[in-house]
Amino acid sequence: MTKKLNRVPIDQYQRDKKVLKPILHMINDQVYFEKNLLPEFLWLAYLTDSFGEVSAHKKLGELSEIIDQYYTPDTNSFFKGTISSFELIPKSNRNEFLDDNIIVVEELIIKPFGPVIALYPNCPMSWINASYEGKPDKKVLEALEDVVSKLQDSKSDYTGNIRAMPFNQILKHNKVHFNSTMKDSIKAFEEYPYGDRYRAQTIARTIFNIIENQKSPDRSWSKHFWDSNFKLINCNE
Amino acid sequence: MNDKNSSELVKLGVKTYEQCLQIIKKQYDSLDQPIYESTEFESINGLFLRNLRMFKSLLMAPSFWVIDLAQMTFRAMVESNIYLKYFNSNKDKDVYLLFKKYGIGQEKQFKSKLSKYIQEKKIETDEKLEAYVESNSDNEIWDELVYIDLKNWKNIRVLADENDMKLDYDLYFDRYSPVVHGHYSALRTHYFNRCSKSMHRNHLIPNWDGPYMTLDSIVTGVNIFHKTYLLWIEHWKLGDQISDELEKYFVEMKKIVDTEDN
Repeated sequence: MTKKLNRVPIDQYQRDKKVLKPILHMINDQVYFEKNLLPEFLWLAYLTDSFGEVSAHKKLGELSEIIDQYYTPDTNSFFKGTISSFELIPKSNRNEFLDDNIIVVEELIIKPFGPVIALYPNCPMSWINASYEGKPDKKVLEALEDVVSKLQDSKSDYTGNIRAMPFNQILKHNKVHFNSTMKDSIKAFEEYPYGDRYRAQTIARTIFNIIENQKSPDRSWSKHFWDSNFKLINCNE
Repeated sequence: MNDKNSSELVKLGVKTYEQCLQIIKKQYDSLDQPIYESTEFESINGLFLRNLRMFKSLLMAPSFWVIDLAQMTFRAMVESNIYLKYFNSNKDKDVYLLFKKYGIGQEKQFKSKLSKYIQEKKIETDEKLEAYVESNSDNEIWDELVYIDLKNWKNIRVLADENDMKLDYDLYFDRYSPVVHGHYSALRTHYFNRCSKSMHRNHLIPNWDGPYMTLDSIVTGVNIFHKTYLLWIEHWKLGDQISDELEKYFVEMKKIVDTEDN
């Protein structure tokens, strides 16, 4: 029996003059998760690894409630737990935010993630980390490398859960509404992290990507993260 | 592949080539060599000799066993095979004259460019170069009457298609075009390694040692030449006298490789 392969045989492509169109030619843009989004999810990954899945979701919700009071959300910008979204709090409100919430900031940001922030001078979360006094060492880099390796599998259950974490904020800020006939999807979200995890994660991830691509996203943190890493560790060390 | 079995393979390659060459020379000498109308003779034998020369390198020169150079060679050899097949199935004798005139036109084009560059003082010149530029490109056909065809002589893909060589075209000619032209996929495959660091996005780092040698390079090259030989003897209606030699070569090659493995 001929083996069935996933690769589409050449005679099944649609031809347009001298070009064979890709099967998914109706999709305009690919989401480059590793390059552009992985760095954004690092804090959420550390939150999950520190507090466990369920607790991390709760704590993100609590922190989001607090942060939402310190800036004005606009059409596309709202706090989602991504690293760049910490810049939404305007400079004028930052000291007040820190003064009012130092215990939460210490617990959720500085303790688990402060050493990582300290590695990247232009990290959007640097302003939160001002009170961190430690010097990041080899162990911090090794731990970060482990997290990055795990996140590289962009559709694993681990990464899927982390990519789904901003979804509560997406719902809270009325960015998406579900038709009541979408029973399976609604049930998946209601039962999360139990039930149909894959369905919930896939929908959450897709909606996040759509919202991200509605504006021209600022990739300066991602660029800074990756380019800095070349100086932080050697190849094949 | 290590140094010991490389040198054994070279010795075997030299021996095999010498034996094949003796046979081929005898077969060539048995042909009725036309003097009056020699274009067909030159074209068919020229293509064969071209691949024979590459066969020699693949048997005897370890640098040709390195995968990128081997692939460039395979592409060149398969192109000749496709032309040979085309000629074998084409009864029109004029086709050889067209092939020759196309080649003369290419040389004429190059000389005309050189003439321009020399006159514009863009390149340095000497007596030898100028003699070359002024020379006729053939001892019979006058340059001044030759058209310069700016496109390829034939669409090699169409030729392959029409002459039952599509598989050869797809597996060797088309497949190894990126290596010949230095396109991205070949650059990534042959001249880089992957960094193991996820923090570096597993980026590409130079492969300073260069691409590796592989036995497959020799085996594939010998098989492509075997096809060349079969097309050559088909054209001239000669008997097959080297297939057994090539089979012996593979047997001996396996012994060398197996000895090292043990």
